[in-house]
Amino acid sequence: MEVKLISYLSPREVLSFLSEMGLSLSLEELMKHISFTFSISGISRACSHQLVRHRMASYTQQSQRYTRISRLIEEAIIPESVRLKGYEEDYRNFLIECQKFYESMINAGIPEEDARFILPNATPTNIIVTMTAKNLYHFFGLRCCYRAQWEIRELADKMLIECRRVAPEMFRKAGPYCFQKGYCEEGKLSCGRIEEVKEKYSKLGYE
Amino acid sequence: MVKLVKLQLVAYTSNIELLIATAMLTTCKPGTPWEHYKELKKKPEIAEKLVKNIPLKHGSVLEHNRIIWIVEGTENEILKLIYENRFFEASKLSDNLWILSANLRAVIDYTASGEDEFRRELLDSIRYLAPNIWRRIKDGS
Repeated sequence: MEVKLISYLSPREVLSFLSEMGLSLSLEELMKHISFTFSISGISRACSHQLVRHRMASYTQQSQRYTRISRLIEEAIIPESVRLKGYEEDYRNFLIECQKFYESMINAGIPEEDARFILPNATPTNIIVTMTAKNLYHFFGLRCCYRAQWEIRELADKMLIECRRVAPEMFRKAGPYCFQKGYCEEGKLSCGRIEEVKEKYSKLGYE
Repeated sequence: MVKLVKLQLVAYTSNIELLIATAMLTTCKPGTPWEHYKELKKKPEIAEKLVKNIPLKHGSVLEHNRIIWIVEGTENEILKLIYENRFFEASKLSDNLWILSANLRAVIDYTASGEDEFRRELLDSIRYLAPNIWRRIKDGS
């Protein structure tokens, strides 16, 4: 997985413009207007499905109609649990069969848009994501949580690190909701590790 | 009709048209968005060619940016604007002064939905930040 911040609007630039005009805006209000654009590559389709459920954002994803999947075996995402339980070889064999079948359908004249139906959720994808800082806070609140699925949690952490690199003050309070609010909203499902989480997110991207 | 006046551009995402071209290649070409971005940065003429040919109704690639303005207007005018296009965000600065922001797609959709002074000013404000898109809208292409 690779996450790069391609572009963003600098909070400092906006605030200094306003200050020159004798105007001011709270950081919270400013977050509605500042957006961040990420290049995300090498995540699974399972992960991108979770990502695009955050509707207050803009997405441009690599099409499986117009691009051919040629490196499924090399680039498919393999969860750690599959390795730990000794299923990696079977998993890889399945990917090999998938790739072969996909290619044989294309060679038979079946269009990519139909051949792709056989591809698994492990298939890698590339996507551009743009969110305002306010929506990123919500995204981090849900997806940095220890209860979030591991791949999107890893993605959220990497995005947060990128945000803190360029706008450290704006994202100082960003992280899972227990970090943002001081208490866990998950009730009985809580991971019970709030102190560990707070420690992690007070440092992530600042060290 | 929204009668907002005195629109002033405050800030915008840099290289907006380069981002549009990057998004276009991301959908239809192998490679990561970051690789496309770096490649297009070295070859701006390709980015320009892509942007000149994009169907403007092909929305998502136009959304990877943010443009911020200051506008003067009453609360009712701002409410009407947000009602007409929910992708605009507004924050009150003082009595009749507001920070307004949106992405390029929202600007294009909104300016195409009617004709008045505010829409003309809004369209003029993208002239230098997305010159090829602006020209195409002006030419009606």
